[in-house]
Amino acid sequence: MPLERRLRDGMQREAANLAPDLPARLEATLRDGRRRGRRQQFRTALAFATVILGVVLLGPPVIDALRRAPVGASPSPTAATTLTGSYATTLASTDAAVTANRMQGDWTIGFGSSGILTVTTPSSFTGTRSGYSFQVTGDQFRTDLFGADVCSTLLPGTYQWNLVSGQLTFTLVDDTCPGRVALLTSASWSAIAPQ
Amino acid sequence: MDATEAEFSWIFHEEFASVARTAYLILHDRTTAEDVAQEAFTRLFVNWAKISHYERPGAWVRRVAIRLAVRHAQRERIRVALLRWVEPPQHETAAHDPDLMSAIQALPPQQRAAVALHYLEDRPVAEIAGLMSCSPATAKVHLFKARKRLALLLHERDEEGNDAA
Repeated sequence: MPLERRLRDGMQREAANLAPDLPARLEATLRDGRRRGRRQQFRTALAFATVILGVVLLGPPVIDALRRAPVGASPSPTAATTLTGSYATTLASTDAAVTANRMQGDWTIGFGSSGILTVTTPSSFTGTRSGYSFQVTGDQFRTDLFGADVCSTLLPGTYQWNLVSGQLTFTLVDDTCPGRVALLTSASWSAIAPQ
Repeated sequence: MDATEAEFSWIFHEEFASVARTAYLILHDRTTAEDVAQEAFTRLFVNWAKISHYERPGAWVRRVAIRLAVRHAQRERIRVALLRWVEPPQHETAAHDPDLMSAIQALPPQQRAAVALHYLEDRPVAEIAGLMSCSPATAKVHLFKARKRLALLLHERDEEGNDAA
């Protein structure tokens, strides 16, 4: 008998001997499949819960770290040579954010060459005074001033700045922090000394 | 039984026996062949929402079963080789052509799968390649080598003119 025919006939005869108990096999398959399906759903739910838990537990520290992160790259040479120095103003605004944070009084603000911003505040002010930064790009000025407490926002504020004859003024471009807007834009800042 | 299970049952009745028979020719053990086929169908059931939209869900489950059977047979070959000195390999009895079944069992699992798909299911090389997840050239090599080896073991001349001896 040729090999091809022997193989074909022989395999078909052998295979035909296998007659599975289909109802029993189907029942077992469905039972096992349902169990695995439930397990898969449980695993998916568990993974989802883990992600939620991770966000809840790790979210606040990450947000806090972001809030305290520097605003961005170090200032451009133009900004450092032009804006660097200390300026003073008196805040007399009756803005709600100003009164709420007891910000009325004399302020000085210092722009360091390394992009660090420092403030001297009225004694009534209890907010954080250090650890802030700024960035200048052309006439745009960005800062995270008060981001630690008064502003309670991650987003830095953006202003347009102008320095003419020792008088520094900021014009609001985009900032959601009323306290910072009031401090920077209520009055012009007078140059005290270059740093 | 809901609509999904009813739909699944239909394909189960259509395909299970055929899949189990192909697995049997790879594994040479009826119970294991049915278990492997059942495992493949269980996976089909778990993924039924997705695979039921395929053009041929039957091909999917057959491919899974062949892969499982080949892996099982490979593991079994290693185990038998390791234990050969302790207990001689056991063959299923009552075969119509025991020499043929022994010869097939002597083939590597991939070649067993290729001959089962070709001679039992009458599939062309392209389909064998698809079901074995390999290239048509590889499937052709599996078939060629299997035929040559079977001819040698069965002392026959294959139809491509290769002498057994």
